[in-house]
Amino acid sequence: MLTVRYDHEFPYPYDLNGERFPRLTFRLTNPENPGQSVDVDAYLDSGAQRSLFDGGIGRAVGIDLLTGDQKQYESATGSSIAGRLHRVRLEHPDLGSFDLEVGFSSSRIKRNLLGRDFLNLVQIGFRERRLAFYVTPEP
Amino acid sequence: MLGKVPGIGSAPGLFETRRERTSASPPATARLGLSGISGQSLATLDPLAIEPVSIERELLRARFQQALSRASSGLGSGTGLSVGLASTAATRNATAASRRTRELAWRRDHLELLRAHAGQWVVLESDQLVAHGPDPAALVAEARTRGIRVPYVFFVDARADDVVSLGL
Repeated sequence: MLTVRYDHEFPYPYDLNGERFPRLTFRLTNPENPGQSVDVDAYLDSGAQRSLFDGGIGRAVGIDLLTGDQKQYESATGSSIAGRLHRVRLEHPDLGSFDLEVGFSSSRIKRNLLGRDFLNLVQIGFRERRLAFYVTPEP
Repeated sequence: MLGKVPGIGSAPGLFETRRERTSASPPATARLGLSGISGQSLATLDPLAIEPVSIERELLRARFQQALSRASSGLGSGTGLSVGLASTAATRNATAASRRTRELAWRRDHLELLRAHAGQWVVLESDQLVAHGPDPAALVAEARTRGIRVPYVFFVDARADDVVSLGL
């Protein structure tokens, strides 16, 4: 028997259309400017190789989007957008704190995505039928 | 009797090298794709479909309503939650207080008001819609001038009924 134990259960919150998606609200802080933080939603996306946040969120915490390594983020359609990598701190009241290098998009995106780089920092399981996901905040 | 919980991954070592992996040089192009996760409308949820039918109906209905209430409020729950891959038995020891629960509840209860700001970013503090517009950085700056040290900013994403959401 294979048994996995998780510390926390999170129901998928509703969006404006009454649909439900796996999402968490984090406090995002620029470690180079700890006085500037914002609370943001981020969607769990196991299909995303790396995390990507809207560039405006980065600017809101004092990140210069003209600096940082540039990456191209390619979607399933083959189209891509550019993002600049910057290290940020993501804090969650239940899950704790995560230091993560995330991309900040050069063009507007609708959803901040937490990709496999974040999933690499936790144990996570999805139960789509129950519209819930489960997290243990350690790899 | 046992099944695999999606997303857990059974490959050895999947989660075992956190620091080594995060320090490795990433490829020049990061792929963003589908998470394999689809939305499900409230109307399609059937309490009898999420539990074995042998459970007493009223108890089931009560549990379902509790789950809906938690979901719509955005609350996470529990420490020491045990998810057996075989069964639906899960033990919740406590309800955890997640961030921005008041705002998440407000969002749930004010869909019509939010629809007026579809396609915009919004700063919400408690039950006050502080600012809205196309640039989250400008909204956050405005919120800070109003004394909100850490603003909560989110995008109001409204889709047509025939639109399916992907990761990016």
